[in-house]
Amino acid sequence: MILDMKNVSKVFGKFCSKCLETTGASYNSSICPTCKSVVGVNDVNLTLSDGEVLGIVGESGSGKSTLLQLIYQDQKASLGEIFIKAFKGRDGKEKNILDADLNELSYLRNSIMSMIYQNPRLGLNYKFSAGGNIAEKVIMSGNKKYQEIRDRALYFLEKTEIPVSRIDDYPEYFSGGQQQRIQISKALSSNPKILLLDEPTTGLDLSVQAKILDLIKELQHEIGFSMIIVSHDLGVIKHLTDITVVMKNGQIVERGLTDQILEDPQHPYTQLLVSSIL
Amino acid sequence: MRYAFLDEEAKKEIRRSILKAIAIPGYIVSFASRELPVARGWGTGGLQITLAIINETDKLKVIDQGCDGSVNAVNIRNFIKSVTDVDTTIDTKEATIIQTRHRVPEMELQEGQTLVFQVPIPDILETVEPNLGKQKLLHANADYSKLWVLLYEDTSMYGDSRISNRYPVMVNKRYAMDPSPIPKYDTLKLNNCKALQLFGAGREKKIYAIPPYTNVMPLKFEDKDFSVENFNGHCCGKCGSTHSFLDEVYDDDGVVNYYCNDTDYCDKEQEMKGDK
Amino acid sequence: MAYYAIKGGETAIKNSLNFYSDLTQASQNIDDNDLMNGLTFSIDKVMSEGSLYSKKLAAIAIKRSAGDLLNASFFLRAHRSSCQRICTSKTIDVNEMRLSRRISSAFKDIEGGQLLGASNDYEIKLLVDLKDEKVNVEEYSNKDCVIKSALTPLRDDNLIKKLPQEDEPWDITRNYPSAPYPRSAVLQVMSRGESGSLLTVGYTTMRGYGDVHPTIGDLRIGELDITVVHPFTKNEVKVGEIEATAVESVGTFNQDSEGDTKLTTGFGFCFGKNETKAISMSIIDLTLYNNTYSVGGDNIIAADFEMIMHHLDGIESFGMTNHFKLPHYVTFQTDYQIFKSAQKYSEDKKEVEQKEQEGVK
Repeated sequence: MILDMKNVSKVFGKFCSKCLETTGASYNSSICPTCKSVVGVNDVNLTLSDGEVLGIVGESGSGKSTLLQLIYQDQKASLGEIFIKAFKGRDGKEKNILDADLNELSYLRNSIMSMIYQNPRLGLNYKFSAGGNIAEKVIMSGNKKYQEIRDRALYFLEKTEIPVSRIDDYPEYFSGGQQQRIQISKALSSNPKILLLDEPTTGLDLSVQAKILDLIKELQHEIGFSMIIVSHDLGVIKHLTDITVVMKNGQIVERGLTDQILEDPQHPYTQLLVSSIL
Repeated sequence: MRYAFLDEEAKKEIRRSILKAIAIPGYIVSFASRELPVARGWGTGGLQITLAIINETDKLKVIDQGCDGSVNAVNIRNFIKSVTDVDTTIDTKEATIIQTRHRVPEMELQEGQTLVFQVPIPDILETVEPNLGKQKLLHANADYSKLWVLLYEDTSMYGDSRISNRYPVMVNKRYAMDPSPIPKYDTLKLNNCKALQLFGAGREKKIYAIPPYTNVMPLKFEDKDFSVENFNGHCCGKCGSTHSFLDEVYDDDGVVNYYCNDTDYCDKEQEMKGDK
Repeated sequence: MAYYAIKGGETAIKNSLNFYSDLTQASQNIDDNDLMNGLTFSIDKVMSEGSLYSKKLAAIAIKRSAGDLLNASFFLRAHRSSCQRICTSKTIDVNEMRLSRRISSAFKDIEGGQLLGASNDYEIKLLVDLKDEKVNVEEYSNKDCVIKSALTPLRDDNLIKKLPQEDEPWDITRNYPSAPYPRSAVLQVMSRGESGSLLTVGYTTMRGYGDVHPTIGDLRIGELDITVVHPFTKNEVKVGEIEATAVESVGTFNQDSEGDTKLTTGFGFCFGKNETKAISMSIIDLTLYNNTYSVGGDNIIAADFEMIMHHLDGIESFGMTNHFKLPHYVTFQTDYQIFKSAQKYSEDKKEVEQKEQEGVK
């Protein structure tokens, strides 16, 4: 098991004692009737095995993106613990990554995990060249040899089908699909154990989407990292994932093998989602 | 006038800041920088350090861009002398305190000497991140990625870093430090120096230090050489030295001449050659 | 809450002006020549910001303002509007300046030498003099002292990036441009700009909000001839002289439009002796035309044309800032009423919600 999430919650607002009990899928609401706080993630338990690809599916507002942000710590969790294999505190014992100090957080975000955002503006620094963006990740994971850094950048650009002659160009001069691919290069260049993807292809045209999904699938097979993909698109989930969890109002309502969920959904909400595929 | 111009409370505070800085090599310490009769940006940081540590037994040398005779050096030296009556010298070997702007003396410094640098910009991260709050976080995190990416981008575009002076150094393998606008030529002298090196930024209100025998390495890729200023085979027109930093000087006919930048070093070399 | 409006009225205004003239009374007694010779830097600042070269008028304006130099510049600007434009002079080449001071920080020594001239750069700012020193002064006349810029050798070697140039210089006092701003207009705005404002913006670049790394290539103060073409004889005629400051800064290097790597420069120019202002201006010029990637943070004011073109004029900013002292009771009344409505709205809403909650229980 490479990732273990226990009782993770995120509440936006005052956060009273009733928040978690009076919101969720069965209430059909994420808003606490007592204090009006919004419960983004409600007491989620989730595990991920080595090399596994997990999909999180749900509609807008289900909490799936927030969950990802809590793992990567773009947002601070309100409650819960998250453990990652091999992440130990200074005392040698397994440590809750939510308690990580600044140095440990930097190590987690640069060497252990990588995140790919729906909007490349969040994952790339537009003041650095394409090569520079990748170099940043490689350098932060410890490499200080120029040629190796540059070679690694060229390697990933080639892998993601970006013309290598454009390595020194700035991101704003690339198309949306290309910017996304530079983001993927950057995320993979530090050899992460866990790759987090938040709607990686939403907003791109279908042919580009297909290419990028194939690319991600191929790289995952080749390199073998574990992956969590968030999407509202069941087609994406079907194409890439082994296991799927379905979220509604901050809670997981169903989990299982992707094929099973799509073919034989149990929870009424999942049934609704699956039947909505055109 | 009070000895060394500053009041005792001011001197105490500056000394405490210096001690803290020495205890954490390369770490930037804030201090309550006083306005002096010399303008901000003209050496008030270096001046405050010198005034805080100087006493009657010291011998003071002041240089600006390598020269004791440069107007600003003369001005500062005269001011310090007028408020302390200390002995002054142009001989690097004799001096106990050397206040300098933009250069490290050519002659190797010894134990017991203190080199006081005048610093315009105390934080090397200013090159890539001007916001002070963010700078502090980056230092705390030892996150110097922006400096490294700049080095990468420059190397890709121009073959080497664009940074000419104020070349970033890693002190004691922990803090990235601004060595003040000394040429890269001098950056190598900071490493394992026998003398105490103190850095004062008056306008920015910061002090930092490198205690003697500290590891100081320029920030560079492991597989690239650290290139220093090159004088294309020229030697000093006065003393013939090929191992010193040279100034390019245009005379009235528009002809270029090369002379040692460190005037004391040049004088000594000429003396030695004269003796032979 | 009751709101009491202040009633203005001609009498009040007259009385106020009367009180003000009491304040400025003492300065009216100052001899104009004393002011022009004694407070020469004040005169120069006012001419530069007032955009009108007349020491006499500057003196009068300063006296009328009892030393408020920005107010004095304001007087000059107003007077300028009432002057008829006769013609435009021949373009001045600062290389032809008769120098009373010329330094270059970029070189240790240069053709013509470093002429420190009259400068307070090395003045130790002690209010109480430590000693009285007699010095042997060098006799110095600027008549034949014409030296070209210290950057000329670099220019001759084609190492310096060419900056945009219009065929005809703009006149922002007749026609204010909109973006993209012609460089001559940008330089005019800065040359007439408020010294402190230019100083602030220039200073931001020195603290990391810009990627310029300036060195002063050439700073000069001296006399320049003003020549015009005579309308009838068509001959060039010298009509006067001005004292001016010109600064050329050298920055970092980058690629020009042809892809060649060149050194960047910036130019600063003001009436009178205004070193701080001219240096700031040259550095802002440098930054505006050399905004780059990789370094410098997100908000670089000195590289933002909109910031420079609309916020540096002292008379404009001074007027607008002080205009807030005018009666605004009508506008305030409207603000206040909107505030009261919004407050009532949120209170009403709270009441309704509370009632709903109680209803639910």
